[in-house]
Amino acid sequence: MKLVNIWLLLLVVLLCGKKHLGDRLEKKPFDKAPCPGCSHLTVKVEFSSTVVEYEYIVAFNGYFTAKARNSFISSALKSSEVDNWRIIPRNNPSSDYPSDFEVIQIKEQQKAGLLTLEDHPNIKRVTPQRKVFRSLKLAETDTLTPCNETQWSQKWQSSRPLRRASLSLGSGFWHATGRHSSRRLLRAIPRQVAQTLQADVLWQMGYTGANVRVAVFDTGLSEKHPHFKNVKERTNWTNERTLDDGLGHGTFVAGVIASMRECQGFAPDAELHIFRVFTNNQVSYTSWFLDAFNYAILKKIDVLNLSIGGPDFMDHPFVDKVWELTANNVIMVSAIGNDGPLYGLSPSYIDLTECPYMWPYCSQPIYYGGMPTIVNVTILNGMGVTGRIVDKPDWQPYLPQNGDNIEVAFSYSSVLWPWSGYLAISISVTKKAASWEGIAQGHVMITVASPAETESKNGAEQTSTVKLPVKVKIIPTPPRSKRVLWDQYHNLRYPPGYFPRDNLRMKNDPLDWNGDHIHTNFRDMYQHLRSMGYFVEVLGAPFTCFDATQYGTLLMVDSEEEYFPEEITKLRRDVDNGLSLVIFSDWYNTSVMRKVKFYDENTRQWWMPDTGGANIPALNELLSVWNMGFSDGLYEGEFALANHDMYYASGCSIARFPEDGIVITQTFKDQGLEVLKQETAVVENVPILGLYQIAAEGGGRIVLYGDSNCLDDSHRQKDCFWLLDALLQYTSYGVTPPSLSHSGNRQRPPSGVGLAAPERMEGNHLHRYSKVLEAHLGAPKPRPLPACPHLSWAKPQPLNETAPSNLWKHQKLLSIDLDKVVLPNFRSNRPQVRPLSPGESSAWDIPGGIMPGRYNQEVGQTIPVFAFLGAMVVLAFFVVQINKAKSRPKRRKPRVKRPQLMQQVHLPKTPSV
Amino acid sequence: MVNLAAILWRRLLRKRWVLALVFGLSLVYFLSSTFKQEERAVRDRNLLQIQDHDQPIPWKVQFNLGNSSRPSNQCRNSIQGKHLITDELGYVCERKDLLASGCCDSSVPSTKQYCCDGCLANGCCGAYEYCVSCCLQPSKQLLLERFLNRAAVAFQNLFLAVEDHFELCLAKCRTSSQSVQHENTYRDPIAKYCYGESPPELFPA
Repeated sequence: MKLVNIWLLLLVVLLCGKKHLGDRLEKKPFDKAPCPGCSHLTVKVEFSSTVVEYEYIVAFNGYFTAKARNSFISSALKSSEVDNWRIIPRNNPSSDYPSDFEVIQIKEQQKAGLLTLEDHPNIKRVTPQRKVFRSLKLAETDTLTPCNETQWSQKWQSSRPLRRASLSLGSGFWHATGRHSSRRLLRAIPRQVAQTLQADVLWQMGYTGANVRVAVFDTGLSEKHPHFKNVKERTNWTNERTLDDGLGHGTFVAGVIASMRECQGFAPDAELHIFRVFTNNQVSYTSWFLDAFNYAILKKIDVLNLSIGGPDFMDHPFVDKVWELTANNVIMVSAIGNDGPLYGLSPSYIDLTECPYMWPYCSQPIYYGGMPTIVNVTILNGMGVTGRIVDKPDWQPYLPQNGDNIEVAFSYSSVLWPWSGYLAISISVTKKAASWEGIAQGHVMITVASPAETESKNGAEQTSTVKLPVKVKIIPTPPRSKRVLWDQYHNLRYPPGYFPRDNLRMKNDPLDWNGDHIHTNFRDMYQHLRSMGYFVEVLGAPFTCFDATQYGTLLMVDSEEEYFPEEITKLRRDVDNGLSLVIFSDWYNTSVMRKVKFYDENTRQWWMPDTGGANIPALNELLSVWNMGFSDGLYEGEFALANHDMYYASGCSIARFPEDGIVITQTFKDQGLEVLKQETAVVENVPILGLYQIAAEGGGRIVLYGDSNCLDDSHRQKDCFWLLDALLQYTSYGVTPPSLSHSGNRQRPPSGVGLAAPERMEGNHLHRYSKVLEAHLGAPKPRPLPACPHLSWAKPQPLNETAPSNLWKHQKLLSIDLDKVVLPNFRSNRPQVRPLSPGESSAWDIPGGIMPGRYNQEVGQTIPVFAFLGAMVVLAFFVVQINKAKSRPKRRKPRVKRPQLMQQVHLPKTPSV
Repeated sequence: MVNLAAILWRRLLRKRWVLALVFGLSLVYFLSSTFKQEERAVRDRNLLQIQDHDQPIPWKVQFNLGNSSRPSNQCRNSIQGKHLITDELGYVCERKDLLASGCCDSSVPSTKQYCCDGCLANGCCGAYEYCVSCCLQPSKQLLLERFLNRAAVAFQNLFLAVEDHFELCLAKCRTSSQSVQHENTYRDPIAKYCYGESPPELFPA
């Protein structure tokens, strides 16, 4: 587990909103009926962002110096003959160090320029520069609703407008610096982050964090840090014997929350409970967290900040504990990570046309016959820790907006617990819109019911209704040749098994844990295929569950899963009937697999891989009918193919291929030998690429390639998207690329005679993580073939009305004008924050009571006093001793004697002069 | 000039009171930092390292089982449950049978007191609510006291802060560092909530 820096905006909102107890976990405004004495104004935080014209963020593959970044960009832009561009200088202390991004301004030929930039090998992606606004608003709640009414329903409206660019740009001090000047804006930010984010407005309203218990799960905090006055307790849960922060992360986080001095925190009066759960080396274990979390529940912590991020969502003990905390009314604020796009806030509408906010949905319109698009909606229920969806969610298409052209299916949590649940919405196009193009709209209505907590009567419920707008773009079904199906079902991922990396050189990243999905580590490949006009769909079910007549090519990359016998039979039939197959395999060598086992610090056990980079024995079973197969060889090397530089990173070779196929070979290093024996050997004529046309009438084509790293974003050094293009031309249209068929590297296909087929590693645990295998006495066997996913479409309740034009418009809100804020309940309980004047002691009064082991400053301050007194006694003793010695007759040699001695030493020398 | 300074310095150094002063100051520093360190060691609430094995831990748990100590008819309860909830009297009920007072409605037939459904002989249960209810049985008091005096030394932080039988059962039944193997899997994914002294049985892989 590793530490990540955090952004505590949400925490502040929650902290400050704590007085509205019922609203604690809501993000969506289920506004509660106000109670007498409560404020009638609610504070809302709003984010918006706008694209800055002509400005783009260029992200690189690694960290480069300013000079290198400049040369990459200029070389890329020179090739597309774009001259009118410049790098926008960033003047901050980090500009002396290598960076992984650059902000550029292009004023002409932007599209061409951006495309060439994205093709540059060192450039990861180019995104438009965005400017983010945050503003606080006061919303007037309906004052007429009585407090104790339990049956309340509320018309829901999204908190995000449709076009975020048009959002409330006119007002607020954020916009004073001008529209295209985000960097100037950043420089204009006052040094105090709390003021910048308008925390002082909340302080004036009395929300200073007083009486809120905040737990900081981090690297600890040193005793008597002068910036904190309200540290209630420090506890240590690590194996290091200290409570202090030896790293600084914990101090920083605590400072953002509750610092009193210098740079003020957001909630200076909050009661801090410091939990030291990370060592100074940022190590921590689930078990430490479990015990610390239990203590936080016992201590009735209100808000818990956790600076941790990790990929192991299958860590059930940890995940269950987080739910338990939430169910016990602990608000957990967790780090989202140090990277990633700005759009972290979930919108409350489903607009699949909105780019890039709704990426990847917005990257491909939907059409009849395509795999259903699934949107996962999280329902946050502020009414109670448990709740339920009343009846079923309703689908209400707007007939004038062609809402009847889509079908919608739901699956959802039977109980919303803790405070939340899921609603999965599958969207598909109806048959009658198979050749229709346009936008379809509608909305989903759900009613959530929770037990009334304040009501004395048994079984009373409170309900709330939410309307979720849906907007999708529909196109006519593309031709078969344009449709590519990505096989996701046979890709496995890290939690909880060990699926080793595909590039054995990447030693510090041992696991293949990105899931191998077109929206994660194959994103660049997906974007490339989209830009080439292909439509890519994802198969999340066995091969028996798709209609092969719809697709030109089935793309299988780096597959680790096994295959059901029924799948193998069905795929053979499909290929005979015209489906083409492109397989990018990877290495599989049992000796190397045994070699790359490692001791995992997080789970404290040895990890042995369950497959190689790909599962070649399984793939070979799938391919055997066509007389094809991969070997368990392991090769690495650079080469050129059709004038493209290529890199083969830990790939396998083709062991056998039909006589009449096209096979390309290369000369490589034997990486298996290198890993196992640290010896270098060069192997010539390694078959790496094979193309084959099924002989039968109307049969498909099959392409094999031995390495997937050139498509994978995670460790890619040189991409082979050009090769994928050429191969898809071949599989989809039957055009044999001449650069390959007439290549000098073309060799006779290997017959595989005399080669032993790769065997599965004995004793592997693939069946534990496999959807196909199950454990048996002896070898694992395939499970019974699961039923294909079946969606039951919700019965539409068509609305013969036009979608409200203000569907996404924000509620009427009272924007804060900082000059003339009319503040309710103005109290003068601003936190007493003042700069430390010179000479002033930094000691604070801490309410007394010496608790065992509790941080207590009174004791701390008395120690030096005792020590000083003791030392004075010692000193007095010495003074008396000296005085005695002076009064005594001197027995030692007088002090003058030494110079005499010195003279004696020097004397013999003088005569010689 | 330099010579003069050197001589002066040498002479000054040789004065005993100067040496004594230097010694004294060093002593002050030594004493103060030692004191400080000792004090910190006492203040450390360290999970994995125990200072004294011999000294009994000053538990403040009160086993007050009579209704008399409870103010009015209000109950504390286990708060978190998805379907079930346990109140401090040991009643387990469905969430819908929870009264506004926080107590379970004991008149409903499905509500049970001191219920050990799904609990194994080793003191581990399949549901948190039944674990708490079972743990609240008056007869479990001896077991809990024994646990507090022995096994729980590693959990000082938690159990030093527990004040009564109900809080102890709430805290004891939760999954903890004792519930996991390899950090990310439960020792026993079925019966993982334990009021007893021993951790869950290691589930056969």
